[in-house]
Amino acid sequence: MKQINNILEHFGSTIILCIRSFYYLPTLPRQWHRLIEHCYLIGYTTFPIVAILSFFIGSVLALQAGYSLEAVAAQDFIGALVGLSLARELAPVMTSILVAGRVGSAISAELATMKVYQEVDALVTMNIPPERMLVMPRLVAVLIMMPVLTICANLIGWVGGAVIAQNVDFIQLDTRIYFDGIRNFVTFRDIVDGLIKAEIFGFCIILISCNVGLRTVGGPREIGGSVTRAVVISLILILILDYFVTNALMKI
Amino acid sequence: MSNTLNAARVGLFFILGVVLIWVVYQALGEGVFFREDGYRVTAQFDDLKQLKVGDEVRMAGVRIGSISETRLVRGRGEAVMTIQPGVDIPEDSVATISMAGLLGSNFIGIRVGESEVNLAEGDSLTTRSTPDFNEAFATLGDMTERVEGFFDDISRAIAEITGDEDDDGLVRNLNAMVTENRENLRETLENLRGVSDALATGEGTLGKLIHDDEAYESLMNIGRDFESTAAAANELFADLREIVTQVKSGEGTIGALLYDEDTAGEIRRIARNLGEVSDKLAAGEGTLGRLLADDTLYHDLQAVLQKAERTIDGLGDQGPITAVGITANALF
Repeated sequence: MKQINNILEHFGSTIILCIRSFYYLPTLPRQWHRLIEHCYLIGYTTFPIVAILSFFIGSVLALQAGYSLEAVAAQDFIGALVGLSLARELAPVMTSILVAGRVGSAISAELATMKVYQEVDALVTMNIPPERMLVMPRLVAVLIMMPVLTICANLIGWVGGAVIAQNVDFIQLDTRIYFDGIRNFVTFRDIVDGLIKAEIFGFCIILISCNVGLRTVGGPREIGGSVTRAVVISLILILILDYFVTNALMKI
Repeated sequence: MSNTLNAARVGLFFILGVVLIWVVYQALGEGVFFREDGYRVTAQFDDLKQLKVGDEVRMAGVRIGSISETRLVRGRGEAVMTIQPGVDIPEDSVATISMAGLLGSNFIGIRVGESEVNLAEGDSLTTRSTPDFNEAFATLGDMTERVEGFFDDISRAIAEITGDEDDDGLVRNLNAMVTENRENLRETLENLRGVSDALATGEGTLGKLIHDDEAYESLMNIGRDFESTAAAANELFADLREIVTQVKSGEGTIGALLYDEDTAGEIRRIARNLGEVSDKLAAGEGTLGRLLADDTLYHDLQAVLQKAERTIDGLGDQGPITAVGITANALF
């Protein structure tokens, strides 16, 4: 009973945080430098790991597809398979997971530390709402940066798949055929669906991380607990939301 | 790390992202915001199959445009194509929906016509439907049934020929006939072999004909005789022709006879005389006439002969006389 109550409390406080943050959206121009900073942290510094990961995801997809499709001599469809699965599913989800691990954890740790060491209380005392200064710029930054990261993940993954498809002995698929497969089977709608998913995931990750960080109560030991909780909730939420968002987007 | 540098990096990164989205959008080619340049032509099909917006339009395998819209017009599918400017499509070109691969997307293939007039904005292409896999397989099914029927007929015919256990088929009858007439057949064959041997060794007329040169030689001789005869006949004909030419030109007796007026007159006169002579003869005039018409001469001749007979009888009564004696008597 207490746990259900706890979950509901988390859920409610997250929604309240979201609404309050958007209430302070008009103050964005005054916090321009903070927005840039968060964009830098969320987007620019996350890009290398996203690039590496998506390259190898694309490669391993092409490898697996080539291995499986070799039996039915349908290797021309490697491009279609890699392109579609990256655009619709893997690029947004993997990017979100990386953002959750790299950025979400950092945000929740930072906010939890500020909360534990009463910096947040100091802000409140100075009549600076933490939502305005700490949460809102991050949410806007993630909304700006997620599509960029995801489209990069898409393209790098495709290139990774192409490299593998051309150079592995038992596949040796011409790059042009590979990209023709992508062009024939992947529509811009697939890409847009992926970007929308990434946007939703990124927004949820930052919101949850901020909420968990700001709700930290106790000593420094709780900071680690908050980080763990933020990342775990984010990952679970990404995968659960993934199903429902994909389902909803398919029906549109 | 200065704040300006970070801002620049973030800005660059964001622009990169936007550019990449733009590039992907262009590469996957679905003209929603930015239409492809060119003019639009339509083509109506009974079935658009899996044709969708953004698919290619190809002429002779070269991409010349794309499908910009598909819609339903009075129960038929109409595809609106955007053709690149500078590509001319003759008026009588034919559009078909082709498959790029077994599972791949379709495209509209345009077979180039020969008309001088080219299609313009808003014109409609003539189309031809291509059989899809379902139709092809349905046809194949029909064909299989027909082939099966054909083989049924054949096996029935074979059954009729071979015959069942109780039914006499053609083969069975033939078999029985051969079995019954085995002796006769063998004799016939032996005779045939004898005849053939005889022929081979040159016996009999046929054998000689085959093996002997004589027949050939004589045939050749006959041929040669014929040749010489023909030559002689040729000569004869040549002579005849010469004679005919002479006669025609009035030379010689016959020529005169045929072509001379005087001769004709004389002949007529002779004929008249002959007619007169004949008349006199009939009337018993003159010596010859009397000879023919009077039987006195006959009676006289008869009396003379009777006298001679009597004389010879008288000679016979005078004793045996040799033929020489009679001859001598007659002479002296």
